[in-house]
Amino acid sequence: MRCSRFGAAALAAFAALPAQHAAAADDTVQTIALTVFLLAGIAIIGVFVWVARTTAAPRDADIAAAYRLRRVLFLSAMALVVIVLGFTLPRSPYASNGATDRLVYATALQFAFVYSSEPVTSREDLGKVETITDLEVPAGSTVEFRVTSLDVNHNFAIYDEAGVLVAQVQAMPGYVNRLRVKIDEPGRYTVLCLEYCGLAHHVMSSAFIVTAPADTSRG
Amino acid sequence: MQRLDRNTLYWMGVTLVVFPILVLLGLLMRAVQAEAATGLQALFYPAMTLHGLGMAGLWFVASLAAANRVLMRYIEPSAAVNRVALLGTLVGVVLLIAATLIGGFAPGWYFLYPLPLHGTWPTWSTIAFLVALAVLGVAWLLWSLDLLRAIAKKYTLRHALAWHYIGGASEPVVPPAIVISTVSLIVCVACLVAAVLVLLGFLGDFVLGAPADALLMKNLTFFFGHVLVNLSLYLAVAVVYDVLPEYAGRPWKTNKIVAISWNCVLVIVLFAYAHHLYMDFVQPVSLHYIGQIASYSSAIPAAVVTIFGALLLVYHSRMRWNLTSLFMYLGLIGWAIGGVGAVIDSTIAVNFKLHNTLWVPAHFHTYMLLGLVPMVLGYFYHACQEAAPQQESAGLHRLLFWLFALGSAGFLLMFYFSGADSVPRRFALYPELIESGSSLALIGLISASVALLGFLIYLWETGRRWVKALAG
Repeated sequence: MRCSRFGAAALAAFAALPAQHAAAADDTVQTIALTVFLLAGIAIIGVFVWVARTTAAPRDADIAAAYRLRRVLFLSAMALVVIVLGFTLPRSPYASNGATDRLVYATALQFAFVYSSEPVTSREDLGKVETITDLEVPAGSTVEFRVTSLDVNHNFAIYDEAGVLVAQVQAMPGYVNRLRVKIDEPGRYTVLCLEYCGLAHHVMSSAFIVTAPADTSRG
Repeated sequence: MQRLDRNTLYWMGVTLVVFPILVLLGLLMRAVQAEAATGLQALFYPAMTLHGLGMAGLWFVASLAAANRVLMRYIEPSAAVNRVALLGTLVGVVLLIAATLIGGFAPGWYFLYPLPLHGTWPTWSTIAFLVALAVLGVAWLLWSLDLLRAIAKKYTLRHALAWHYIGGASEPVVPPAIVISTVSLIVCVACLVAAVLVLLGFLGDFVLGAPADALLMKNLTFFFGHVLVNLSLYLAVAVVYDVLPEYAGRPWKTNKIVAISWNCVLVIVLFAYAHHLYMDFVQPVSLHYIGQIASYSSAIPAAVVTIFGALLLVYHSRMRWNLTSLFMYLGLIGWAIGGVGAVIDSTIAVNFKLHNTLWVPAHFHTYMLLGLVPMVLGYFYHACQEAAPQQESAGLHRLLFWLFALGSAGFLLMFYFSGADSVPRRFALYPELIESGSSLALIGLISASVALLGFLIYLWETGRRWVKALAG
């Protein structure tokens, strides 16, 4: 009974996951994750405390009944796993080949991000390729960041003005990761590196502006 | 009174001395993040590296030492190889301390290629680190292979992995500790082979100037790291399987379900590491999906077989609650709760928002600090009390248990709240944007100090028995 209630709560939580990643800068996913975790943690502690308290009244356990319960738990767990996988796997953030409004090359290096309209594959390219110093993208447009690194592993994590993590991808030397985001809320978005990359890791940041539709029409 | 061999005593001594030192490094990190020790900021990343490498390595050898002693009831591992592993570990630890605290070497505990070769630290510290890695790898590989040899001398592979139970037979009887240890040690050899390949990748770049493929190195590194941490936990669980029944007054035997469960673990644990690479979008998507499926699947044998089995063992039993049984029981709770945190994070759509936030250290600290650590500490107390029995103080045990449990829980909750609040991991200082980071770090620091106080009382309780056992 306890298992089925938890299962229902978990299913409801995962069903609420956004269908498209980064569609809105909110913390829905984080809140769901924390809520599910806290509820499950409380349930686990409750069961363990209850079982520990039964030792005050020792008696033989009904092994046959226990094994029946274990069978039910196993089947419930299997069903839960299959259902949650079915809900969540299609919501994975991997880039498809759909339409893109803006293509931005983001190159990470210790300890900065460089934006450009052309790919940067080496340090020599940095002097040749025209870089974008003030990146602006219109709200509601789909932007594809092609993210790479010139030295070590970095990360490209977009935070909204409230400090909520909106989207992220790794930046790896020798590879290009494609991150497609559609941000509806105008504002200043900060990019942090979330893969430890050296002694100044925590100061490695950048920013871009998501402009309101009216601003775009003026431009 | 049961005699305690010197090697196990030495491993215990190393663990009990090194653990609080590594905890202090962790407290230093939280203090810097809380802006309570800004003068020590330069130490943050070297301390982070030593704390992580040290804890992962320490609890691997502590679990293996505990499992080694438990296995000595059934098999005869070589004391000489054990001693070589101990010496190799000490050499490795000295080199790591020199590299990090003197040389300032600070690529983090999983030293992701090619960062160790691109730091501002001196070259000698990188060399010391690579040598330490090689020495530790060889020492631990020898120890693991010797334990497998000793198991193979008494059991066929079919019996050691309990395949005859799956086939319906129940003879010969094989203790769960043998089955779980065999699974863990096979996996251990695989993970140490991956470590050797990582080391070769580094050497190719460092010595020959031939860069390795960053994605391949990342896969190998996380395979090694993920498996090492998991098998450390499994070895501790093997110890619990063997010891907790003594306190519950009931047997906990291998049967068909236990056999199937741990054989599944043998396969699943090899694939679950892929969840560390979800944010490397260039990795084939099928591998990401395999990572999520394997991570979810790994929870079923753990929860439905081992956790359920432990609860059934205790349910209405004549349980003798003391420091050992309390800590082992706490370890099972921590394992279960940490597993929930891990499964949530292993969901790709969720990982997109939690990857490399403090949710990650939250879940692995849960099944380490509240899982593996109390399981092994519970065993160490058990072994010392057996070897050098002294009057037990129930009140003192309860006090240290609650200090350790509640302090750890508070410390971990701050990690979870931080992760849900998008606070990045591995930031020495937080930018203004991350408002809650430093205040949650301060609460975490205070809570962890309470847990450390509980450990210090544990140290007094176990340490004086350990000294007596060593003298005897």
